[in-house]
Amino acid sequence: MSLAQTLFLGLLQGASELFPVSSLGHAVIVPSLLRWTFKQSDPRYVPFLTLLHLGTASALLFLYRRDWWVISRAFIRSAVRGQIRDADERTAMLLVAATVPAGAVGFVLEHPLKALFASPRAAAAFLILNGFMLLGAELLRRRSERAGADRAAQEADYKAAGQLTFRAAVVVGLAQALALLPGMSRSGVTMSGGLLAGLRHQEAARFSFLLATPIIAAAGLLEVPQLVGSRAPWGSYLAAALLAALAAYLSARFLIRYFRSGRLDPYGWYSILAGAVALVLLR
Amino acid sequence: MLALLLVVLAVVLVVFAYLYWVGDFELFTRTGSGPQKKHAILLVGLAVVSLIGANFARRRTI
Repeated sequence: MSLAQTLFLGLLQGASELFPVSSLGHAVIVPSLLRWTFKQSDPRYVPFLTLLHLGTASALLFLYRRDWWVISRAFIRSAVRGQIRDADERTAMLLVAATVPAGAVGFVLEHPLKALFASPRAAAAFLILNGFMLLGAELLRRRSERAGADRAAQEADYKAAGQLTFRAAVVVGLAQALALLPGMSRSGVTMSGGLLAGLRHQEAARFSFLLATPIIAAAGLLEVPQLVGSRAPWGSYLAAALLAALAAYLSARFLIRYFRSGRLDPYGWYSILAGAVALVLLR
Repeated sequence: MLALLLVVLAVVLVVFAYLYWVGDFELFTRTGSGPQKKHAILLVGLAVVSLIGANFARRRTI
């Protein structure tokens, strides 16, 4: 990969990881569309992806540093005591309840799914499916909203992330397994699940980002042993990771602000359009 | 009873984590790819969560 390609992919991964449009799908489709010749099976590509993930996770940790400090302490308190006593402890355990099924299902399905669907055309098809999922979630949400009320009043009728039920958290966690398919967005799946479970849009996004942090960090940290002894162009990889972190930070801030009143529809339409264009161009 | 089951599950997960770590077990991995440290670490994480679940079940407060 050239320096420009490395930096571009860093920017793409950081931005698309949090937008509900599938970073993995874009990472598979875009290089193919641009006719880039490097192979993603190249051993030097693993450290690259690892650093990008660590960059994105660092940005999320920085953005939610106060939340994570509170949640971490609440988690330890609650785990040792074997009891949930306040809202912070409940949020911490909801995140655990949603993360465990994602980890367990990913453990079983990661290799078979990657082997089956790692082609750009499959990613484009799943990106279209991702779009329909986002539009479907919004359609169902609109049916439950008060007609005629303004957006702020409509959103006020729904819950905060800490009020999610444990069953809903587990279902959202299980649904994350869909994101193992390139083209299906992890944040899209979790936000859609959050909306269907009755969360406000902004809270669904916040829960999605909090849920993303340990998963993205683990995806990066678990690959760290492969970095040792690897002959990678560290300078350009680190620059790409910094760009990914910056893009993820700005994306998260934008999305949290956007979802005060915004909906998933634009990302749904974008996914369908981008997937369809990619399918045509990749024929 | 649930607490006991979760403790047993944690022990089983740790045993499988060891087998993945030394490369004696390759289920859900690419065959012949050697020790699977990622799988091992993930299983240890799940074992810890099982123990936390056992602690909750013991107190009957979840």
